[in-house]
Amino acid sequence: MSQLPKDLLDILACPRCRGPLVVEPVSLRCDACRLRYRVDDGIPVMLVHEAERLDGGDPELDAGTPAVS
Amino acid sequence: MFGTPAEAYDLHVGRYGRRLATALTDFSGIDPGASALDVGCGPGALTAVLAERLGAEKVRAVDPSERFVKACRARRPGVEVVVARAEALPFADGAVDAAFSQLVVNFMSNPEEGVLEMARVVRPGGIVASCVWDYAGEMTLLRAFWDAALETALDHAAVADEGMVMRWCAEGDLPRLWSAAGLHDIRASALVVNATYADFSDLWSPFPTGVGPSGAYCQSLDKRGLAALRDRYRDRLGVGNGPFELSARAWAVVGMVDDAI
Repeated sequence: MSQLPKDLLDILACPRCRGPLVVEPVSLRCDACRLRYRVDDGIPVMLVHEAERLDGGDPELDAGTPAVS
Repeated sequence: MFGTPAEAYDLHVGRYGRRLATALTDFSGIDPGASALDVGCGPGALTAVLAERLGAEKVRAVDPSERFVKACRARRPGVEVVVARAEALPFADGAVDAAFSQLVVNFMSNPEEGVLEMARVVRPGGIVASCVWDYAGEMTLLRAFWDAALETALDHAAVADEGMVMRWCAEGDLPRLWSAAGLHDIRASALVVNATYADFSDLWSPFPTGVGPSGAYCQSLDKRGLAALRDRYRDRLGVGNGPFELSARAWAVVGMVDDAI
């Protein structure tokens, strides 16, 4: 389980698609965008450009095209 | 922009932060039971005031700088602080009752998008409130700095003067931005706060560290240029080895998110 409090997890969303996140031990994952956001010493780092790209992600991501205008 | 340590920021414009945060919070009219998000929290001046008013557990804060996020979290125990950009807030729609930003709009890479994001994460009927310095007018610390810079190196300073380069710093600018973001019941006000200094050296100390646009400008000068600017700045302020006080004006705005139909 993540060390993040439940009331924070309840409102956190992917900063790219605003969709729900999957809680991982030291990260938060967006399955829609295929991105993994790290949680650094209890601090979620919710920056798209710093997120880990997972297989099958949107190729436009690396071109810097936002999903939401 | 503010990649430098929180301590330098505290001694620079941060000196006004707490009083400005108190004034902004009062002006916003936020309910004591509300939850709030501080967007672009920096070292946490506004975060602290919001936490005292609403309870730390009701306050969230974000900043794109990890160093500021760590400083804010260390200083404001109980407040959850997240690394995020204003233009892409990592929260669900309507997640909080109020979104605030203090002295941040001009540092957003896309202020129109940033304000839309602040409105998105606020519930219908909630509020979005901000303030920006009156860089071109009565923010004495910065206005006198840039006037001195213009006098000592006109061409070099003219392209850096915050009174010129900041897009949202005249009276009426923020209300227009709020209106464009679809916010309602918009109110605007001037907030005037003071800071005290032990002497001119106390005021000058953070500038050469490179904090903020004025600090960055100082670092762009050679030793002689910097000394000339410092002397001209001190003369302009008319201060010396004794204590003094400066006042700073900010423009504040608050607007309401549409009630659900």
